[in-house]
Amino acid sequence: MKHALVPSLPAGGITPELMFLVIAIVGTTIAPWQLFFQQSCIADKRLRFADLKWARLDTFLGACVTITAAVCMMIAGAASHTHGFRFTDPAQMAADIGTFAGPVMRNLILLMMINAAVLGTTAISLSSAWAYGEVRGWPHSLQLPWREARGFYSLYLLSVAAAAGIVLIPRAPLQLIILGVQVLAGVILPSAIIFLQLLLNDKELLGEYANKPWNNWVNWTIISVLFILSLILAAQVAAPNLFPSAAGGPTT
Amino acid sequence: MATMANPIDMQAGKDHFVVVHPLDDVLETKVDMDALGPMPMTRSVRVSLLSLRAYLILMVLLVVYHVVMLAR
Repeated sequence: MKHALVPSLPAGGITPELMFLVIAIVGTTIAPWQLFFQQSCIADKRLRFADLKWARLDTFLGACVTITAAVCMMIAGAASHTHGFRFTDPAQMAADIGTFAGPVMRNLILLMMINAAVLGTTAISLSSAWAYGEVRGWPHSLQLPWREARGFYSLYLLSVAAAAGIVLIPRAPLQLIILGVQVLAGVILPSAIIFLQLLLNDKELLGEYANKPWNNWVNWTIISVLFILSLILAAQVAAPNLFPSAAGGPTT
Repeated sequence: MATMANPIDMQAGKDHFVVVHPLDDVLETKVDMDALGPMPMTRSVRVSLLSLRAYLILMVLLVVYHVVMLAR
């Protein structure tokens, strides 16, 4: 219980692998594509300031469901690990859990995986299509029929097909690809948030909805932490012997 | 009774409410980006943006290099 609540470094200390994993977790929790998806989604629905309260509630409920699902997966992973199973992907973990928790639990975990896959495929591809359509000046809205937004819909389908194609490459190191993309999201994130910060502090643009001091405090903390993590990762990759592997000491 | 009919085509009466949906709004006209010309920037803003670009290129190359090394 103590280790669940009190953060500590794993045995081996601050290694490049640990930095890689930490940046990947931050990058996938506050992913840059989500920033673009959120604003595009609001614009696509043509919501007004009057709808802000419900849009915030929508986002809050979505975040609660996502965090609950993530916590359930972490608990399931920890339970599987406690029972001595060593897995490298969630499907394998679901099969392992099925041996001691029953087929219902196994199927529930697999269902959550399918849900995550469908959500990721549609949301990230849609975010890319919205953003690219905006940059190119194409008509880009789900409210438009196919014939009026061919470029937008084609790019959306192309993104889904490209994602599916990568997954289907024989013997592709999928876990490493997933982690690599998450780390990329983590290192790109600070630059995206900086521009968002500048917009959020523009009182002429947002009026009473401009950032409050506590919003700025949270955002600048995230930006600073991510920059520091990115620089540590950069230093470790450039000079692998910079940090001794036992720097943090065994604590778990 | 609430109705989803176009609010432009009907008037609010005693026996029903008009639902004004954002999708009924007139579409915004986009600004022509090409006609705006280059954005005026101070030297510090220009340096900051160039530094950010350099950071992004460097970090992307570094992550790709690290992933390729891990895949070997």
